[in-house]
Amino acid sequence: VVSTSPPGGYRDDRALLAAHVSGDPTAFGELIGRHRDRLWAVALRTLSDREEAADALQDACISAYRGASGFRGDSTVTTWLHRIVVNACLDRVRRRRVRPTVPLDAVTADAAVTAEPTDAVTTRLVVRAALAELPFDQRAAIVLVDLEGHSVAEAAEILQVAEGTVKSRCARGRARLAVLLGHVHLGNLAGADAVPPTRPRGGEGM
Amino acid sequence: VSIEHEPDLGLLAEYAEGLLDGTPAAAAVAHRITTDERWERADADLRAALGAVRHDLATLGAAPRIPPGVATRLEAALDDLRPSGVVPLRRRRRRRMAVIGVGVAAAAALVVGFPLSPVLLNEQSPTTSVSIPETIGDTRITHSGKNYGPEVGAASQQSARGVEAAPDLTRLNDPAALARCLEAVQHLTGSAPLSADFGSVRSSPALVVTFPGGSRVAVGASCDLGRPDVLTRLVDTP
Repeated sequence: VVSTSPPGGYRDDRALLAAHVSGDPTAFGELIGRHRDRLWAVALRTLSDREEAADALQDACISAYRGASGFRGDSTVTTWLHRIVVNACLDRVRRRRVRPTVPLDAVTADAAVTAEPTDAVTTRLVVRAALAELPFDQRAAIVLVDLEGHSVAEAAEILQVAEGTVKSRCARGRARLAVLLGHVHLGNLAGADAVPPTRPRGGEGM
Repeated sequence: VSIEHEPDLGLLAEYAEGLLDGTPAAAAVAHRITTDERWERADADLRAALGAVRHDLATLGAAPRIPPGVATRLEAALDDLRPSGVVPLRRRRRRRMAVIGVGVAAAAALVVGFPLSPVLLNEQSPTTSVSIPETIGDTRITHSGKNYGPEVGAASQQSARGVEAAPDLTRLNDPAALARCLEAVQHLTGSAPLSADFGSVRSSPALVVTFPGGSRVAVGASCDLGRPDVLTRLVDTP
């Protein structure tokens, strides 16, 4: 089979998915090729583990490949794909009790590629580590909204929760990050999100 | 509404971001803040900290691109799902890359940085074209392939986004991605672009966006909502 461009030239996501369901052997690969960077970013930032993220992305793509006929069209294809990736990440967290880690190679790559000052690399390291400490629900919401730039409405569709729930998860996640990153000290704080900070700030010894 | 005696960070976070507005919980939290010094201090600390958290999150930068090894593995997994006799995606991609054009392929391999100072325009010959809509909104889309940088192949160590391999613009061939990019640029600059041209700057792929009045910026392949990926400003040669 020789790859050819469709008669109409560009095919949008829905057309590609429909073509895949109809038996076009190249359509799904083209669809995934179009979105894989963003899907990878969500998986990596949600799981904070390169290998786990690669496995989750692969699981998700296989699931989407096989379940394409079940796409009902009530969301965009990208939302549908993101939803499958987030669910694959959640499955991994649940099944394997993934302990989020910050891979050393990511830090090394930052240092090697950008040649930035060490403190900038270190800052990213602690931010990744703090993000990895969040409960999955909060982390996924923050990854989608604050890091990947999705609107709250899009994130709600991906996560299949109400927009208010996304806002709440983001708000609570940011507050927890504020503690983890040392911007807020626990002091007299009690309550659900009290956690020890990840790094000291201003020589205050926490 | 009954709330904890001790300051509750989660509740304060929702209060600070207005999520409790109009609810009894908002009144209860407000009451705590005005009558309990610890709640008052926690509220002030948290509000001050949220900006720092956003700043910290921003240090993570643009979304990481899928590593080649992971991409290859993913393609292999998808190839395995195909009915037998179908040309694997990996082989098709290699064949397609061969006809895209020397300019794009070569530019994608370059490690080039972009200067913070404006690049003087020095348009050179077209090299490639791709097929996507002629307009998106009010913005005309062109594919001149022009090189807008005068120093072809030159690399600067001073970069607006760090020295890194400049990816090709394949991602922006998706009209939806391109539309998001243009929206991000418009949000950043406050004015709608007149045109967006798939070209290059200093030999690296760049989408050159022109605004009313003639000002131009070059953005990279990662340009997206919230991350316009601005590489440099462009000014006309005197």
